[in-house]
Amino acid sequence: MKVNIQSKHPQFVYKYNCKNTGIVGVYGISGSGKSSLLQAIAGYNDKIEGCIKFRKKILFDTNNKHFPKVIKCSYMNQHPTLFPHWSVAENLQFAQNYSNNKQKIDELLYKLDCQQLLNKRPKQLSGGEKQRVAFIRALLQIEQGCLVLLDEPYSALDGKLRKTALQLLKNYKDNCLIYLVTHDISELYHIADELLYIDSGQIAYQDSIQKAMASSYKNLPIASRINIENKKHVIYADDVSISLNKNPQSSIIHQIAVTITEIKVIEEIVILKLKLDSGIVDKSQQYIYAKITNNSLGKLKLKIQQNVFAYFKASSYQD
Amino acid sequence: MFGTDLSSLWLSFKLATITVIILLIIGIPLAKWLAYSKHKSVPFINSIVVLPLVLPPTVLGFYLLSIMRNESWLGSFFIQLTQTQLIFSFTGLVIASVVYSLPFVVQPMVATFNNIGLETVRTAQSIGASRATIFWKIILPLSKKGIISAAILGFVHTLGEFGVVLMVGGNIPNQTRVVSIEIFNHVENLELQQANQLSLILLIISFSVIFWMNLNNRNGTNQIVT
Repeated sequence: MKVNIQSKHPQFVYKYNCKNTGIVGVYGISGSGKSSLLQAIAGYNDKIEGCIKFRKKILFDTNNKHFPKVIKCSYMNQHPTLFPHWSVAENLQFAQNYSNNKQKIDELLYKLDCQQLLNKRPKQLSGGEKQRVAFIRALLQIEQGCLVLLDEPYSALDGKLRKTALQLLKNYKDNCLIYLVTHDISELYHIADELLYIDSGQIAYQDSIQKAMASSYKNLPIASRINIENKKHVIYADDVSISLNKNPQSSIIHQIAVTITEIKVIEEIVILKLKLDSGIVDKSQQYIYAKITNNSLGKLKLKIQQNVFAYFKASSYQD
Repeated sequence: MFGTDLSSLWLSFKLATITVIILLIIGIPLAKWLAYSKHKSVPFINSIVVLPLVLPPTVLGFYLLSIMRNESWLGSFFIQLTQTQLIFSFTGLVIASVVYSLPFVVQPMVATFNNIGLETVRTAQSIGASRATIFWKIILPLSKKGIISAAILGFVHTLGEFGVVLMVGGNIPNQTRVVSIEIFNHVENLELQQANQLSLILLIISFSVIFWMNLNNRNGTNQIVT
């Protein structure tokens, strides 16, 4: 997808290219312009200038008088709108009628704990229930090769449902381009392939999620994804500390033998890239990062290829 | 039972019914355009639609008379077409009533469509629904009560119009002498009993429909849920 757009109200300039499949995580603080980007792609903003091209199709190109208009896509707004005169079942059926995605509605309702909502009207639903129904509707709209725009789809969902929703979304990432907006970067570190970091209406940072996690770009926490005992975890560099010796008082889950493979000094901060020793974790080579001070680096006399122990906070293990 | 001729009342009902039907045909697409279009001419067109609300009926009547007189483009075209003149005719009265009651029908409908919100329409568009489907399956069912209220307002307002009718239609029995003019005639001839009877009928009808409308609106409307 090629995006080159700008607008005065709201003010933004977005220029970037990304792949036509996979999950693009859109991250930024509240009010940075994340939703504006999705609205622009969906064709909701007819005041913007520029061009968006997706899979050889030009969505709009104002320079050639091809102006933005609402496109057919799976778009879930931050405050999703359900049609108030229809029941949940009718709302979902309406969306499926226009999609060749024949996934069973009942199955999705069950997975997202919504079976009991089927005959209710939108005004009878709570905020979280509305969001779940809108998310199911968005899933039903997903077709082969389509564009999926999700603006904070999980903000009102609890941990278990959020995990299910993420899993459902993953099923489509090989065939569709999915934009996932959030201000919770850990969510993106779990699922996204690429990261767009938006700051004040501009793309401040764009890279693959692996590189983004290792990047020391301001406001992007350094982190890594690892598998321990077949469970996926995101470990933040801020939560990792280094010790030269193993502490027998500590549980194994909190300390892992690692080898230093890279030492990156950024002013007073030092980022260590650590290879996890096999045996403790899965067989594949896995890395985590630790953020220490320059002072600690000198004190511990750390060197590349040195074997040390990495300590984690227990909270780092939340998936 | 009645010491007065009820033909004027019948004529008023006929006029109000035809006017409301025309206003619904014109008003629904016009109100939809005014509510959802971002075209720069929207404030201008909206001002024209609202104008009959603020203009004295005599001023509006005068301009309508000028447009519909036999020497005008519209008046002469009508004569060529039907061999009858437009002013002081029932057709002329219908045209005048449509113009005069336009804001009473269009404004409530614009408010209703605004209440549905552009977001609802856009959601349906991004799902892939056609414009016709969005209108028939979403906008119309959601604005049903608003449209009925608008039609009722247009109906009772047409029933009660006087100034414009007098200017354009005159006072021809069975043709342009509607109930408000009949009441005026009775008062002028000091036939107060007849004037009273017709006024009372008009009062009861107007109050009943407005009361029914308010009662209906109180029983909850379709709120847009976001």
